[in-house]
Amino acid sequence: MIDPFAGDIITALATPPGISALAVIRISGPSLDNLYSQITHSKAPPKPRFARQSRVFNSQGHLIDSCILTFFEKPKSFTGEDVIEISCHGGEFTPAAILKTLYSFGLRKAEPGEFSYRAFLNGKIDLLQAESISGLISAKTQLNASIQLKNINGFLSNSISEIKDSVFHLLTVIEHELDFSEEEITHTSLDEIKRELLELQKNITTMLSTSSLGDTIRSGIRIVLFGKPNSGKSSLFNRIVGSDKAIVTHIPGTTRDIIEAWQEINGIPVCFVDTAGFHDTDELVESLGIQRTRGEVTQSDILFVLDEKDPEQFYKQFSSEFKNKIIIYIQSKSDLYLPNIKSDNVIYISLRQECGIDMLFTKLSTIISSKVDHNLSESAVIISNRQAAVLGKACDIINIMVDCLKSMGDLDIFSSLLRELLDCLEELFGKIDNEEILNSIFSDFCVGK
Amino acid sequence: MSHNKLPPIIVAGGGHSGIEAAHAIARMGMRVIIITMDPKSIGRMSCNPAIGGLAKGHLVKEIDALGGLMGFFADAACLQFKTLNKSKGRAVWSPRAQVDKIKYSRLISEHLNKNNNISVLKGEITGFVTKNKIITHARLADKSSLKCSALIITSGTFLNGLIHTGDATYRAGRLGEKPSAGLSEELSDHGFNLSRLKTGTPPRLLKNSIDFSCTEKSLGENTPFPFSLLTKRPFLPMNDLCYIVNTNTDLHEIINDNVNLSPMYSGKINALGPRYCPSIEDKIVRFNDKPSHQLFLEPEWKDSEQIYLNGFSTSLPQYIQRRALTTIKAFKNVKFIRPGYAIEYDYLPSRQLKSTLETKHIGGLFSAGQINGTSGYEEAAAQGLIAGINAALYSKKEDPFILSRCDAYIGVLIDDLVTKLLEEPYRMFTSSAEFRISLRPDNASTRLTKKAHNIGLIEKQRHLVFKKYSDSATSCTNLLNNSKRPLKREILQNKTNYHDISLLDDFSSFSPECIFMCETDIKYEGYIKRELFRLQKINSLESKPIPQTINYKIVKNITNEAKEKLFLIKPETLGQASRIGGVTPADIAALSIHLRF
Repeated sequence: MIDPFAGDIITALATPPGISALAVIRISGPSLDNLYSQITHSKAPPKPRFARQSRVFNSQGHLIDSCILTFFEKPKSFTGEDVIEISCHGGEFTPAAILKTLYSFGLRKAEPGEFSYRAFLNGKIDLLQAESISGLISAKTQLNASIQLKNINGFLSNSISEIKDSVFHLLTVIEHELDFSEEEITHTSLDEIKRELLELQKNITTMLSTSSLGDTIRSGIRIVLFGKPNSGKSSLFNRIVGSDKAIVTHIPGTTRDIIEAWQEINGIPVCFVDTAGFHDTDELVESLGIQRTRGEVTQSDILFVLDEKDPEQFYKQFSSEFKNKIIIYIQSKSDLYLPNIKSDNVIYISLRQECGIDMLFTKLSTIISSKVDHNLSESAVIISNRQAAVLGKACDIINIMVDCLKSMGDLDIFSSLLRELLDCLEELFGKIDNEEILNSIFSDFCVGK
Repeated sequence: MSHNKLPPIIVAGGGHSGIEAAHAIARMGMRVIIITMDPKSIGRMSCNPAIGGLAKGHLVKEIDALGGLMGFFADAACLQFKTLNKSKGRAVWSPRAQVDKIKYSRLISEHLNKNNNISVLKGEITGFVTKNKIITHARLADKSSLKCSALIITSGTFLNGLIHTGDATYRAGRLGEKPSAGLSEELSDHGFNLSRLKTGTPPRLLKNSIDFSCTEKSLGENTPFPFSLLTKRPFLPMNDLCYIVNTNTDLHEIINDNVNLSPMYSGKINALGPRYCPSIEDKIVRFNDKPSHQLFLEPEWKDSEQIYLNGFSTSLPQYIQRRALTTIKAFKNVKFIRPGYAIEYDYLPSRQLKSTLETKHIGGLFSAGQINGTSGYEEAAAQGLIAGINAALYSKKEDPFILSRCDAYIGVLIDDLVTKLLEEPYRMFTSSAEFRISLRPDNASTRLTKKAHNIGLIEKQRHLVFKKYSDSATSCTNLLNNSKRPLKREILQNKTNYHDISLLDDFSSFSPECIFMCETDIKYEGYIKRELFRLQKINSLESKPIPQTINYKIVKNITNEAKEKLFLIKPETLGQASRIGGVTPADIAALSIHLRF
């Protein structure tokens, strides 16, 4: 648990532990001049924002390593406090020896996310940016990384700031209406207020609608291969992931466990899931496998329904059980059985003859593209469940306001709701009064960030 | 009463603030002496002939609910009554009365004279005596001194008052009245910081020199809801005419051409002026896109030959005032009774006060009204009431009486005064009240009268009326919630209102005002709940006190800006600290950690 007001000097290894050429140790605290001379034995004060080669000594004065030290003077640093970054040799020993020395000088090991928390508390970043720092570190795809980076640089913050500004403007207009009489100011018409409100509603709704996109970009898409035993699911799975990850035999019911593999398609992480074939069975292990299949299908975004003869016919029995799925029907082993009339809804594949696979990928790519059909260079994307929840609350408030203005035009109530909306948007930036909520957000970070 | 043995409390000044203070002190069983330079000026309305208005009407309702004078006598001396903002939501409906100035002052004087605990003394307070930083005596201009339990300064604009009209400058308290000197110096000597503010007043015109055929008539309401719970129902006030004229481009040109003759624009007045009650030169220069402004012609008393020109406050030379006004048809042959003028005066920046309006520096020394940097009769009266109550409680060594921001506009007013650095004379706004939809004029007495009764402010007669009213409100609410006809639903869907309900047989025993309040409670209930939920955190900080001995230098992790502001204002609670500009939530959190240890 981070103590937001500790105010002591913290340190941590900012690179992963283990064998590496270099490692970076980060230090942050209210004032680090003394510490700098303690560990380097240098009498001259450190020059801010310059990388300097220097030897680092332990508390007994023994040399540990020759390092590159960079000193960032407050407030021009990541945390807003004095920061030192030490690049030393990597491996098991050197970084640990330097950390041990730092602890002996009274420094404390930083909690996960504590550097970012300090940056947030010192107003260097807002909460939206902090969340994106965490997002960038865990990003697996280029697309995700680029969105997170844009948000770190304030893209999302600016978009929400603009919305906040228009809420503030509207509130100012309303307060003028309420607090001044005709002799003092020119009044604004109710139509004008309505127009501004509807514009605001549109902007907030649009912003909220990017949450599913953000979710897709971060968590990816799950595609489940579904069909009767021995319908060729595992063969197709191996073909897609490019290895023999699933065991393939001619014996029906070979696959009993769930097998996953990740691929990146159009910048989106996609998880393919091979499942146990679906049929009635008394055999214990196989029936457990089938139970899991059901669960996987429920959680999937896209279903590949495979069948040797007629996948559409096969799926009919499940269509009421699994709802809201995007389905791609695949007739496997089309070299063995090809119907007289081909269905437009079905892709015919023969792995043996290497045909139909391109078509499957083209179709898949189209579906995925349509899911991320957003002008990413122009519109900001919200990237956490917290952001979506708070914006959802904002949407609810604004819907009540629209109703309120339609029904009666009591501007006193309207203003009260606008203030609530403003608080809501402030919350997005991190104006949160509850320490626990903040802590839980920053605890998702890794140590050293 | 045993409190009668205590030395009296002295109130320096007999304006709206001073009289409410004195009246409250007397109600609480203590002797009080009002010392004024002119006993005839008790309760004088020195500027506009109106009481109430936007947000100020709320204050008057609250003063009345706390047993004060202003509401009842404004009703009694009313010439015309209006409820402003009627199209904008009931929380901002604002009662406003045109008041007969002479009658108002006379009625109040008579009322105070009847009270054995109150005496009025002609004189001028020029200083005070302290022992161990506690007030013991008030000193008068004739060098005599009076022993007192507490001293309340309500000197209005009189401290080193300086009047400007064009080039002419002279020392005065109000036009034709002497300023007060000496007290400012005494306050400075005791370490108080004083600063300058200015305000203006428009010209008074001779009624029979105005061509009323070229004006627009403006009437009030026939059966409005009055300010005071004590005023007899049905309230059928006089409805004297007011008139409206509009300024024109010729007038604007004259003012624009001569604005350098206005002392404020020529830099002669360095004091800060009100942005929200601006002079005509301000309005024309600042809103130069507006081709015309409304001016209101208001009678100052019954059959008054003197007309107050509301909206034309100015410090331009009289001949420019005249030249500008004659461009308006109705004023072609206008005669002045006296010109508009600006006055600048010393004020005591109110960060030096506690929420009781006692100075932080000297025990038993209170200050209230315009001297604290506010504008308006209503703001002054509200402060006088609170200062009076607390001076009495202080003298009796009882707990202070403080209204919070969620109790009343008066709470907002005083909290703003003690936490904010003023940039202009403070005026009450409804938007300053976070709990605006709960703090309505209609429910002022149900919000406050009980609290006032607990400390002895409510006399028997008022308490009877109040009991009756609140019992009737309880049954009315019950009936609205439980009637066979789904009235509650109809109210929420705007399908009925208090007027329709008052015509129903079941409701014939309730007054329209009572039904109005109960209906509004039902209508606003859901929104009030939201507001309370959102503002809960304010309350949790309010209850955490900050000792006045705190050394901000050693508080860890707060910004230098916050340290400076906190040091200057010395807030009494974390809640107050959180409202100081430049103090962030992170600073508050750090401060609260510091206080925990």
